[in-house]
Order: sequence, then C-alpha cells, then structure tokens
Amino acid sequence: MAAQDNGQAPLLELEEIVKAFPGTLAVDRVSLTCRRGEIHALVGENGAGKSTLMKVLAGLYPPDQGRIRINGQEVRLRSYSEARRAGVGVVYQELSLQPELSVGENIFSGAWPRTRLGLVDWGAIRRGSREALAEISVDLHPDILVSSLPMALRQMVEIAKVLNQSPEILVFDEPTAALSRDEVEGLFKIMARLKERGKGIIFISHRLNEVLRISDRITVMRDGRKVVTDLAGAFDEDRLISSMVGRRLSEIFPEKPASPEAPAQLFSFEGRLKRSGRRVAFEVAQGEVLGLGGLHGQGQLEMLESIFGLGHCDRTELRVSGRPVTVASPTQAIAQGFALIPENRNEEGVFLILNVLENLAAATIDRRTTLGFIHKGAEARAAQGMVERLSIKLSSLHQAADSLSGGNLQKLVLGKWLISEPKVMVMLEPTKGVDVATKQQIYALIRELAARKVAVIVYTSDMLELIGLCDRVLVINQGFLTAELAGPEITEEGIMKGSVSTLDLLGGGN
Amino acid sequence: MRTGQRDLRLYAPIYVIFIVIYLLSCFLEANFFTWNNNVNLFTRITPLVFASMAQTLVILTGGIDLSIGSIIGLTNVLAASLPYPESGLNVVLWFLVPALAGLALGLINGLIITGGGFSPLIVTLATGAIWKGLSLFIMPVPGGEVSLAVARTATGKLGAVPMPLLIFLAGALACHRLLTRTRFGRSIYALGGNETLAYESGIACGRVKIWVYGTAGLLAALAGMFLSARMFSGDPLAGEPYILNSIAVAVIAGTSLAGGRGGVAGIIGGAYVFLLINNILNLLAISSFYQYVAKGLILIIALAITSSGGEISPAAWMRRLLKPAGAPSGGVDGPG
Repeated sequence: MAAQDNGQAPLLELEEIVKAFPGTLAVDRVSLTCRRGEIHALVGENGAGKSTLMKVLAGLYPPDQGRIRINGQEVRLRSYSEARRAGVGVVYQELSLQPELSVGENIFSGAWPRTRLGLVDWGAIRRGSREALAEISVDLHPDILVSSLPMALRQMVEIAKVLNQSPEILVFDEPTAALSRDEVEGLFKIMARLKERGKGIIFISHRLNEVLRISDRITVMRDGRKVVTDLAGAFDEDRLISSMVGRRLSEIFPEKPASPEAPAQLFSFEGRLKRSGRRVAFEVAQGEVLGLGGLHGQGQLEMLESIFGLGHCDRTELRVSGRPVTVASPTQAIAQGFALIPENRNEEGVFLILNVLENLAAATIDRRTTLGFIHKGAEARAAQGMVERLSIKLSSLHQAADSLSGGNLQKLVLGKWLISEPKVMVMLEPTKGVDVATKQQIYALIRELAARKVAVIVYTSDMLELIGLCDRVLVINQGFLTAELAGPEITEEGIMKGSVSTLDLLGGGN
Repeated sequence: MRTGQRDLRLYAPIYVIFIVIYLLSCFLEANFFTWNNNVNLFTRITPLVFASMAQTLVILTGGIDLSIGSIIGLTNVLAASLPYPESGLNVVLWFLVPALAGLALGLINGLIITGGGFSPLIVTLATGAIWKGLSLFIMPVPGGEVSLAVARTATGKLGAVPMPLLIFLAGALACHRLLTRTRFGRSIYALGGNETLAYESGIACGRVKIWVYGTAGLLAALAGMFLSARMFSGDPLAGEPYILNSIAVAVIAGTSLAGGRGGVAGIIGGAYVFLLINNILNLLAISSFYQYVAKGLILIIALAITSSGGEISPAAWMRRLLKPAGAPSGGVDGPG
C-alpha cells in the first residue's frame, strides 16, 4: 500500500466534497488532490471553508456528498480513528495536547504501549518519544510536563505525536500562527524533510509569503468553494489576495476619511502586561479606528480585556477625555461608556439558550426598568430597531439565539453593545468566521460608529482588515509594542516586521 | 409568557401529561372527580408547588438547593412554636417570623456560596444539616400548636373559592412575573445561561445569586408555614420529602438542571403529576416495593418528554432516553 507508484493514483483525492451546517454551506463541491512528496497549500479567508474541509478529511465531520480516495482506494472516514488508520494525521493550530501529562505520554496519547502485565511500558514510551522527536531534530526529555514548555516546543511535540502515528498524509492547520520567525524556519525544515520522504502535506496558512515560498501547489478557497488550484510559481501575492477575496480591497472596505488635523483624544490606556511585565500605553481619538495586530497570544487580548475590568493587567490607568477613571468590573466599564465585543461569540458573546430579545437587551437591562420591572415595550422597540439597523435575519425576537447563523450571531453581539451607545468600542476579532457580505456590513458599521465620534479599537489577526479598515495600527509582540503605523505606513510588510521580530531583530529584515 | 410560542411548547407536555393522569385517576376512582377531593388535592399540592418554585429559581442559575427541606422543617417548627394566645400581634408575628427566618437562611446560603465560591450542592447539604439540627433542638418531636384563626384562613375558603387554590395560584403568578418581568428575573436567566457572559454584560452576578437563594428560602418558608397551618402543628422533619421531590417537579416542569432554561409556568402541572402518580399507584393496590420502581420509571419517562422541548415525537423521546448525553453533536463551531 505504501509502495511508490508515482504517476499513478495520487496519494489523496478529495472529490466534490459537500458539507453543510444549518444556515451555511461550509464546503461546496470542493475537489483537491495531494501527491506524494508534495506540499499543497490551502489558503482563503477566515470562514472560507478550509478548516471544515480538513475536518472532513480528519474524520471529524462526515461529508454530505463526495468521495475521498487514498492511493486510489475509496475510503470512508467516519471518525478520527478511522482517518488515522487510513493514514491521515493533522497538526492543529489549537494544539491537542494534555498540558498536565508528560511529553512522552502525549506523543503516545491514548495508545500507550503496555508490558506483558498490562501496565504502561514507560521504557517503550521514552524510547519511542525520543525517536519521534529525533525525527524532527528536537532534543527534549520525554518526562517533561507539556505545561512547562513554551508554545513553539509544544508545537513540535504535537508534530511528533502526529508523526508517531506514521501518517502518509499530513495536514498542518496554521502551524506558524504562534511561532516566531526562527521557529517558522525550523518548522519549514521539518516539512521539507517529510516531503523528501514522500509524505503528502497539506499546509494551511494565512501568511501568504510563507505559502508562496514553501508550497508546490496552491488551492484558493472562498465562501466554501474552490476558486483555483495552480502551481505556486503561477501565483504572486496580488493574485493570491484577489483570488481569496474575490474583489479588490477597495471594494470591500469603506473609504477611510481624511484624519482631522488635531483629533480630540478621547481615551487613553496605560498598563503593565503581566506577560512581559512591560508597560504599554496608547491613545485613541474620537472617531478613530485603531487596529491592534501581531500574532495570536502576544498580550493584545489581556490588554484590551483589562479596559473592561477583566483584570489581566497590573496597575492599569484609563483616562476618558483626560479624566482618570477606575474600572474594576464590566458594570463600571459599561457605566463609563465602554463596550467589548468578545472574541469567541459562541462561548463568550451570546447567551445561546436565551432568545434574541434577551440577548440584545442584556447589557442595558438597567436602563429600562422602574422599581426593578422591565419596560417590555421599550425593550422590544430597542431590540427591533437594532434588528432592522443591522438587518439581522430572524423570524421573531423570541427566537432562540442558537438557531441563528454565524454572521447573525455576530450581529447580535454587535447589536447588544450598540444599544448601550458606547463612547469606546473594543472589538476582538469582529469578523472571525463570518461571510464576506456580513464582513462588509460590519466594516461599514465600524466606519459609521467612527463617524459618530466613537473611538473604535479593533484586535484582529486578519492582516487585510488591519490594512483596509484601520486609521492606525499598533503591533504587539510578546507583550511589547513593536510597531506603530499610521496611514500609508500600514502595509503587510510593516505589520509582519513588527509581528515576528524579537526585539533584537527589529529592523534586521531577512 | 416569557418567550411566547416557544415557551408554550416548553410547558405544553407537562400539562398534557397532567390531563392524561388526571383523567386516568377519574376512571380509576369513582369519587375522584368530586369537589371535596379536589379541594383536598389543592391543599396537598400547595407546599410542593412552593418548594418546587424555590428549587426552580436556584436551578435556573445553574445551582441546586438541598437545604430546602430543612428550611421547610425549621419554618414549620417556628410557625407552630409561636405564643398561642390569639391576638392581632400574634397573627402578624406568625406570618413574619418564619418568613423572615426563611429569607435569612436562604441569604446565608447565598452568601456562603458566592463569598467562598463553593459548590451549591455541598454548601446547601451542609447548611441543611445545621438547620435540621436546629429544628430538632427547638422541637425534638412533632408537636406545638398553630393559631386556629390562621389555620382556618390558610386552609379555608374565600367566598366559594378554596384558599389553598388562591394561595398557590397567586404564588405561581407572582413567581412567574418575577422571572419574566423584572430585572432580577432576567438576570437569573442570563446567569444560568452563561455566568461569565452575564458578568461581562454588567450583571451583578454575586448579588443576584445571593438574592436567588434568599428568595428560595422565603418560598420554602411559605411552604413550611402552610404545612403547619394544614397540620395544626409542627414537625421538624416535615420538609425532608421536599428535598428531592422539589428537584423532580422542577425538572419535569421543564427546567433544565444546566440552568438558564425553564420557569415556573409548568410547576402546577408538575406537582399534580407527582402527587397523582402516588395516588394512582395506591388505588391500583400495587405493593409499595413496586411503587417505588413504577414511580421512578414514570418520572424518567416524564423527564424524557418534557425535556424534549415540546417535540411531540415518541421516537425522539426514546432516542433521548437511549442516547448518552454530552455526545459531540458536531458543527457547532461552524465553517472554519
């Protein structure tokens, strides 16, 4: 089965895969092949369907239609373990490691070798782990707890764990998102070596320069469909972006108004990030859209959540129009006119089991009560007004929130905070997982807020969003403010430079 | 109604079951469908309705209150231990002392749970034990007396309408209003739906929780007081059966143990179902050994039906019974 039959059936063929979720067609007749010794990149915006397609391949989602062939043989992958047996290994972006177990236990996760007495064979675990780690040139003791390792090493353990299952097809789902530049180079060496050994590799990444550099072929997905598959050499960054987005940037993002000569500073933040022990300060003007960029988990979220009284920073000092304010809890933050759109709308943003009305009213119940009794009429009017303003699609205000689609859920979160009429709006990943049309609406809304003199702070991992939407961009790297870009300085290059540089590398370039 | 159509469907099944069991009782027992027997039933379900409403408030926040039985017991004892001579002041005291005691006991529960961040299960198990001890200290054996005027008022009639009917209807309506119309009620649902998000939406979760346990204590006290008026005396252990029965009724009345979903609109139906099942099993002369088994089975079936969110499909009910909960349903995280 593992014979080298080059030129015959490709290692992996996905044919006309369809996967629908209530309200969205996540993957719509997508075909993709991966040959032995090939790095096949899969790119597309958030919500384009890449991860869903890969979850179909990993056996997590059964496809609604379509066929999967491995070595020319049709296979049905109905569970993770079936996919594993068929030779598919997936390295996820959100690592699947158990932090309180050792490196070795994680590498053999769930399939610990046993001695004749039925006890765990620690010797075999240690030997096997060392071999798996040596294969990717990582020197790590198998008994170390995963929780004590830095992110990059955890990623390596994850790779070793997947390799230990000796897969033929390897999927890397945004493996570089949390890595520094040196660590990315190390990972690419590993990928190149796996490629030489005849594995088929599918590589998902948002970093287009990486994609262009390392892959042999590239498939672009958009809105659940495949746009194009071509040799990597046939692409440049512009062609990739326009295929991903389907239109030019200027058509997606609303025009940025010319910034006023002397904007009135509305809000300032100063605080010490627990992560780096370093003070970070910034200001936002009335009507300004400030972007916060950088890789995942560099301290941006801690910083922004502390504005809302969620305590991830030490000694935070906030000022509104120059006047110091104390915010120790969300209640106080709301009273100051702050709003926070959380990152994970399903778990943190929406009361899924409550209805639309209750969700929209949740942050402002106090404003429509007399002696504790809610003014139902006023509440329904406010909610209905917001549903119309955001064109949220629903059958009734009393519909349960969990019956709404992703884009409408995001609008629900936005609506809840818009009703509170904030002066400072903090948004974490406001367009994560929503379709392009909804994105455009959200961008227009952000601009509309800015036009009404609201200060908007956006944290996003979407480079295009930082460039297209924001008046000013701050880049945070490992708890340090590494770049501040305004107007025409906001470029992919500038942001990346700030994102991946360690401080001594600043300005070092390639 | 809290959410119109959707909640009608939530509460419809329990009232359907109620009607079925009620009709069944009418066939099984010749004098079941008589006014006297119905008045008797009103009197018997009133404490259960109040205890279950107390439990429902707590369950809606995602907690549980095992001390409800002891609060009923203690307030029952207090109501029967107050000075007997009939006077206006004594009647006022009869109403105030146990009610305020129940409220205070509930608030103590809430303060310990939110102050220490402890599990409601363990805290109320512990406080329940303490209050049971207190009741037994005050009244080691059942006894005491209740003012006849009070007892007659609570179990008598207002015009032609039996007081117990009025009491539990008024109680249920007030509780329903509290949940659906007030900031407090809305906060309870938000808290049970997602506590972190409720906090981040500016809801004072700690304070709301403390008052939820306080209100539950007050409602349990009303149950205890009614029991003492019905029995003309006090019994320190009178509340014991209400601990688990209140949980069972709350759940078959459509409240989810996970919190945030449900309400008190189904409780009267739930309490009736609970009571009538006992009744029917007795009428059928089933030995008490099998009665327990039958009661358990009927409750599980009722649970499967009411927790299906009003889905009228026996196949779905069976699937619900047989499918292990917590299995990943897939697709929740949407398209990547």
